Amino acid sequence: MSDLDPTPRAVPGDPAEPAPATAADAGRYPALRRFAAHRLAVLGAGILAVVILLALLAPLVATHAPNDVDLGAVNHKPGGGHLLGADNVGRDIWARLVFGARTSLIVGLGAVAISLLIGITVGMLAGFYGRWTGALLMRVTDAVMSVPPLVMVIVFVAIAGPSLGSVTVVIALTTWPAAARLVRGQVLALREREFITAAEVIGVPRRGIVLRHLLPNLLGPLSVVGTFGVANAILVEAGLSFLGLGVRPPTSSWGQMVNAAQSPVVLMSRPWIWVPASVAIVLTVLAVNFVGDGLRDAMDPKGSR
Amino acid sequence: MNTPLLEVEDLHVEFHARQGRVRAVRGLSYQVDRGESLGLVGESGSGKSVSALAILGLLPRAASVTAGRIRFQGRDLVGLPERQLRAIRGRSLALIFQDPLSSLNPVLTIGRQITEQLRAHRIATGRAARDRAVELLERVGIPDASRRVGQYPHQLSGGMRQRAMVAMALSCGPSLLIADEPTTALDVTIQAQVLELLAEMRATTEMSMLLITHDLGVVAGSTDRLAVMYAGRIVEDGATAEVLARPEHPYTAGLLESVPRLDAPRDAALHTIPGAPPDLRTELPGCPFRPRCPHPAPQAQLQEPALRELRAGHRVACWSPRLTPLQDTTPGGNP
Amino acid sequence: MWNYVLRRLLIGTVVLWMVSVIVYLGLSLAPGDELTVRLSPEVVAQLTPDQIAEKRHALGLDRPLPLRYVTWLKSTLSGDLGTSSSDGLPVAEDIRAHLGPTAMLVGAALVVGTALALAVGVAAAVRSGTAVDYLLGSAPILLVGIPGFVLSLAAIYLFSVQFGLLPTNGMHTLGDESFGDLLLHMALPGSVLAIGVAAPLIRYTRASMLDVLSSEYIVTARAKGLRPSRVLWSHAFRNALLPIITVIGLTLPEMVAGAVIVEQVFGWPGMGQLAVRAAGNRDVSLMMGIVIVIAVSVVVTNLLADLAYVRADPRVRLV
Repeated sequence: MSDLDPTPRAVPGDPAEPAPATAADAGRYPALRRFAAHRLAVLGAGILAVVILLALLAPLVATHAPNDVDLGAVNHKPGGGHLLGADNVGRDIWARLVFGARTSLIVGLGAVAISLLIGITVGMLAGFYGRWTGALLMRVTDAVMSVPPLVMVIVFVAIAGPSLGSVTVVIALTTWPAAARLVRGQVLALREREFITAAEVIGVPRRGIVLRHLLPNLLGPLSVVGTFGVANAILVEAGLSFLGLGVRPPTSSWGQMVNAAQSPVVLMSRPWIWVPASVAIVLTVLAVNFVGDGLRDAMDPKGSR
Repeated sequence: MNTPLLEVEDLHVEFHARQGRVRAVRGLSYQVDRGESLGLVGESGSGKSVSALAILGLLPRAASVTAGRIRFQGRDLVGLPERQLRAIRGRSLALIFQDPLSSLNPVLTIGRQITEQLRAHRIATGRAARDRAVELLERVGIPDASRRVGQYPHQLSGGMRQRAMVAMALSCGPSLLIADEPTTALDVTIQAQVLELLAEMRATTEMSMLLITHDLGVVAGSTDRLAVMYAGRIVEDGATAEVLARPEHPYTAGLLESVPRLDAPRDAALHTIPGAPPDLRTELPGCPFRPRCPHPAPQAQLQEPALRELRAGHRVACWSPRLTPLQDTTPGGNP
Repeated sequence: MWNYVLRRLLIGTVVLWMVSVIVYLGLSLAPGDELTVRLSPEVVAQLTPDQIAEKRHALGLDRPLPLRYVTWLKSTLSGDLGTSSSDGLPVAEDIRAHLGPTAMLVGAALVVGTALALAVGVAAAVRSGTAVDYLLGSAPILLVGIPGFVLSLAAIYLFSVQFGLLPTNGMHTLGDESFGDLLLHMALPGSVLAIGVAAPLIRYTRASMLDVLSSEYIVTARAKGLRPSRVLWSHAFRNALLPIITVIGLTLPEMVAGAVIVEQVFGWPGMGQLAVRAAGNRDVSLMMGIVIVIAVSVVVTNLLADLAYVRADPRVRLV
């Protein structure tokens, strides 16, 4: 299940060892070095690159169009023109798999982009305009966090109609609180720092200083939150499609493909229909998570043990 | 025969860090007799706290005793099975630390932290244990003890917390108390109170004390004997008054001279010992103090000096000791 | 402390109110009138346009949005959540019937999952750096990436189809209302949910324990000659637990989301199944009712978790 980690605290649960502090801290981009030394993160990045490539080149890589119904190949085992077999209406599994990657990536990246946008805005507003506005915004944040994301998504997609766009927007609407809290926390912390007061005394406007110092500080944690957000979004989209409430054919989605396994026949005797998509989801989500862990360690090497 | 209560003999402790081995303690030898108080002085990184942890077998996982012996009440503690060590810890050998706020469990009451020790060593249980806890708090001078006993560490002031730690340490009547920088985290006035408390406790119980500190002022008033540590071993030891009056090792002399004096002229520069402590990851040929020594002997480059008795009860590890003649004036600061 | 409780209750109420506003806005975005939502499509289809207009006026549906919201809020608070368009029953009744099974499943999974996570996390922390830690620590990393439905399907494949051990559908076998039978049916869905709870918690527990184990007061405790088990549990664990309590509260919404999937796969007749059915039928009033009820439970549980934290950490107690 998804693990949207709101606390950018380095967790020493990684079996991979981070590089020794001395060697990796040298060099022009120490964070990059540290990331590169994190074996799992590099592996994750590699897998992700493959997935992205496949998604981008889907029309070239797939041997059939994903929605081509081939009644002669209904429930065909892998082989004979269909790399991974065909489903119950003869659609090529491999084609649906690579096109499904597009769905997952679009939703994943799109939802995070929108959610970060909303989250950063809300966070900044809440941080700068403390007191009533800030408190109000934080209560709204709490409200959104109180409802299970999947439930909200189910409800709103049912209302707005199941399309790639609506799914993306709705997922974004349920996940922005994480970024908002982060940003607000940073703004508040920075406001209290003494050098801000010192600069103010000589007449520099407070907002300008905070902004200038805010952005570099935020880059790190936000990229970590964003990465885990992508993993989360992919899982939510997959879950939604699995339930039959997400994107509908002709758009392919991995979750949709696994849906077929609800029938015992498919589950037992036709694994090629649902296993490839399941593996794809797991691999992609794990890859993203590893990259996220790598980013987190790269940003804060002191936190690892 | 008066066997010393605690005898550390040629102790070697090593840390296995990612950068390599760090030899924190290199052939350390000192002893504490019954009823006496020994001050162990040295700067941070000299290995003094490490030796205290080693005595109790509480070294962190990355460290280990690689050689030497630690004899307490006649028994060698190095390599002693854990069960037997546990019977000694907190009972005949007690330890108090520098920062009482982080040394006390924040979620247990003071009373619980004392009674659990009493129960662990089968000294008292239940109601009797609680009463004894209150008694102990009263003895260390905490007012309103019966209320304090149910409070949490964060509800007490720094001085009271340290007193509570002392009460905890003394609860089972130990023969030796090791106090690792007990006053460093406290205000100066509170420092004096705590030292006084320790002296009082010792007077009534004949308890020995190993006082570890970097502050010569603390040592001057509270200890019978003094041992100075540098780079993991003792470089000078003897009766406190004697060592402070006539320091033989240039390091000891340097430390004494570094203490600012109230009667010095106002614009006089503060004295410092030039250089920095050696890097203990490397092998140290010759005398480790040589780079900072004002008058090194030629031998210091080749061989590390051993502790030799220069005067009765006063030993130095130096190729060129100062050999100060007996004087009336005492160099060095007042406590 | 009661000050704190009151303050939290107040905040909780405000949050719930905000949820209701969000929910109502969503409701008003739905195509189709609120009338259809309230009375169910079949009834409305039989009314003449005049009757419709009359009803709308009677229910105050031709007034501006804020006033409509107030009316809706009033009826919701009095227990009338409208009528389900998919089965014609009052929403409140549908929810009541399905709440129990979900509460049972989620409750059991929470307890089991938490206990498992704590045990594994502590074990991993204590043996930090060893092979055991490596294994115990990496398992959750992998598990977290596996979506609930994949795990459920795999569980069904293994336990039911291959080994025929456990039932995979529904709450009871026909005719058997015994508790034992219930437990058998709860085993697979409950375990999948419990793993979902445990996976992220194990990492937090391990991290928290490692943090605590390097504290000074642990050295003090050992220096007092206490038994290792006492040091571990009364001193280390007791302190490590504090941040974990907060985390458990935060992961509750995700757990309920997981329950939706699990209930669907295992045919467990709970709120999750109800929600899916409602969404499939675009049964707006039912969906809204479900969201409100879930939000209430989450807010209440969070409050309880906060209270538990206040009780556990004496440093916070007097605030």
